Amino acid sequence: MFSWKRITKISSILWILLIFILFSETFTLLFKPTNENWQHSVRYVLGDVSMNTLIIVGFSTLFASLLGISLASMVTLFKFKGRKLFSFLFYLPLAFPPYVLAYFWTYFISYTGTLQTLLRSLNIPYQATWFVVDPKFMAIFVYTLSLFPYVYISTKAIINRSLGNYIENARVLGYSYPRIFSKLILPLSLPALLSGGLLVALEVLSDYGVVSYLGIPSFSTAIVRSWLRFQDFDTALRLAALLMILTLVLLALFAFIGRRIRNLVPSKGKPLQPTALKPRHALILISLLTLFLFLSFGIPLLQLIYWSIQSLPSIRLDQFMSSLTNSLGLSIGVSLIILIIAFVLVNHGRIQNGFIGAISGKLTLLGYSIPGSVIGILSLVLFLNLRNIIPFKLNQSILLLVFALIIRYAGLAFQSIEQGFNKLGLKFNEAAQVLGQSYFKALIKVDLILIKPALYSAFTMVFLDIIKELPLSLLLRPFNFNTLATQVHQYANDEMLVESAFPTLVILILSFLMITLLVNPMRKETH
Amino acid sequence: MYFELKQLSFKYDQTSIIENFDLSADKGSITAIIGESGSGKSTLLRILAGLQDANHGVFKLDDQIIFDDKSSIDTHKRKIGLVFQDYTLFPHLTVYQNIAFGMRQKNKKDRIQSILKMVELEEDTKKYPYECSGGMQQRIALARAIANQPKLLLLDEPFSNLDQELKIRLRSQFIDWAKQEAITLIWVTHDIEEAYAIADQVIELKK
Repeated sequence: MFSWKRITKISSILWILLIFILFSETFTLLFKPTNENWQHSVRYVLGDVSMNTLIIVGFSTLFASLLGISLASMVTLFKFKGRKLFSFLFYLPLAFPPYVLAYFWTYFISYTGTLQTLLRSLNIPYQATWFVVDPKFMAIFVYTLSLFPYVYISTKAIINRSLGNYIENARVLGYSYPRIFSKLILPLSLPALLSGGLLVALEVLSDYGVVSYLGIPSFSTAIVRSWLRFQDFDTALRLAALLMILTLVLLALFAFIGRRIRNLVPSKGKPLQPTALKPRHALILISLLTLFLFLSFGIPLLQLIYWSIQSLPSIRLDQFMSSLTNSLGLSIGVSLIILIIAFVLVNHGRIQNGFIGAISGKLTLLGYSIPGSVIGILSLVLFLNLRNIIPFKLNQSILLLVFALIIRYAGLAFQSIEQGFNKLGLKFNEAAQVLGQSYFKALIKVDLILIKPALYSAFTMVFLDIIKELPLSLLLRPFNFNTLATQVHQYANDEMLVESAFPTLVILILSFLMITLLVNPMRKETH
Repeated sequence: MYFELKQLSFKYDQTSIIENFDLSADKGSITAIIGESGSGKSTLLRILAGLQDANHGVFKLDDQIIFDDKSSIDTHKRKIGLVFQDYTLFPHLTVYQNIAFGMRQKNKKDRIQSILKMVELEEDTKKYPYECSGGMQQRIALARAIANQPKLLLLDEPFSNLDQELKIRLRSQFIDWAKQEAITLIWVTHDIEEAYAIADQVIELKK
């Protein structure tokens, strides 16, 4: 007989098995002998790779966190003209794939780039060495500018919703705003700062596009190089295992700090009423925020638009349309599949509080924490092993990429849907059950409609990530299968930045649209 | 007896909440359950409705075993209504749709009309719950519960969120409706005066 409870249980068990089989390949490595490449990597590469990764992850997380919480404080503490617009605009950098910013800023400060050309044309004396920037610094700069919205979103919500009475009290006690920021906002937002910071750290750890373009040896680049250039699967897999361990250490560290500061979350806070600024102060703040947005977001966007117009006559429409169709098909299709999987898995945990539900939830979230290159190589191993069972070359089909994307991003949807269900509780479902509806019918007739915003935000967040996604698409795509992101990467690597602008602009427009649609329900929820 | 509960026991995390509890009632009667917070009043209602499983006990209603130690009828098949303390009206449905939710009767429209008349909500059928006052929301919740013609209606402090005057007026109206429909009521309240004013029998649960 059809039983929703049974379906969710079986699905959860299958999901656990699948992820267990996928990750088990890394453990079997311990018992295999190492090859020459690996020994060379350990001796000459691993030290650099680890140091670079730690420096870039550490500083990017620190700067993105400081920038995110500072901007969140400004738009929540003060009332000024255009406050709502600024609040929204600070979400938009999420649309910029970090690798696009890396291409742009490297060009912008180069000898032939916009800045130096402008200085020369204005006869302003300068030395070219001023603009020679360490690639690691450039990477940190780019990650900070594109990833700070993660911290901005999480801290803004806390300041807005829960710190009202604390800030009002501090003002009555004569605290200045800088003191309110350092003594109240910073410590009381630590849990939110930590969760936003963790997302930044994981994104940086997982990224391939920036480090690859800037030529920085990192785990992602080392994995891809061992695999694609040297065809050394074993070394790539070992590097992936190391990166996975590093990620797990990072997760454990954040979880440890999180446990120590969890009591800092104010339980009885009230929403914050922003203070109206004097016209002079408002003008200074608006000018500063505008300048920041223009520098971080406006200039790259204007440059992209300019290049896109320049490149229009030379665009190969058939190639572009094929990439666009692939990107949209992949993003929409995989997002929908993930939505269904996450919905079923969350429902199992919701009906049955047990070991299976807890484990499947944790494993799903783990997938989102593990870098794309690691999931890519593990998925390939799994599909290669399947060759012996299924007489179809799965590893050469789009299914491999779809599978890896599902494992990588299911956690994102899971988290959003789980939060939606937690907020909703079981009471409406129970009310429907006592009125004669089965759990499943109540789920469809009542719960599904009431958690639409959570489903919607889950879909949008997954879509946003997949449309920009690079390492998995580069590693696992079938022959001759291009997405907009891989096309951009290809052009940029061939130093054809003008040609890369149009597909980049299309990614940005799609992302802007999705963010705009995502922010609206989020605003309704917070007000 | 129309309603019979024998030797009901319920534990939560090894702590006994209800132990060897017996209860019986006639058709159309009102039983008030009183007791201090944490005595298991709401848990008892959730067990009777099937939203929580008992550890032990037998429950019979209208000559049908609802649950015993071996089997249990699913919540949605029990024909037992429950009015929640916070009403739990479906926010995405109108007053009319809330009342009609789950109804399967053939003359559904006529029944809804007569219930709407009874609860004086004929003019407000197209409103959503958030557009209704506390008293109206209460009447919608009660109307929704009786519209389905339950064999037994469980009420979890149904008037506790209302002011005294409205509470007394709505309570007496509701008891009249329930008598008209011959519905058996199990009414949880923390108000001892209310319990003795409305009930045919009053049972006290102790911690």
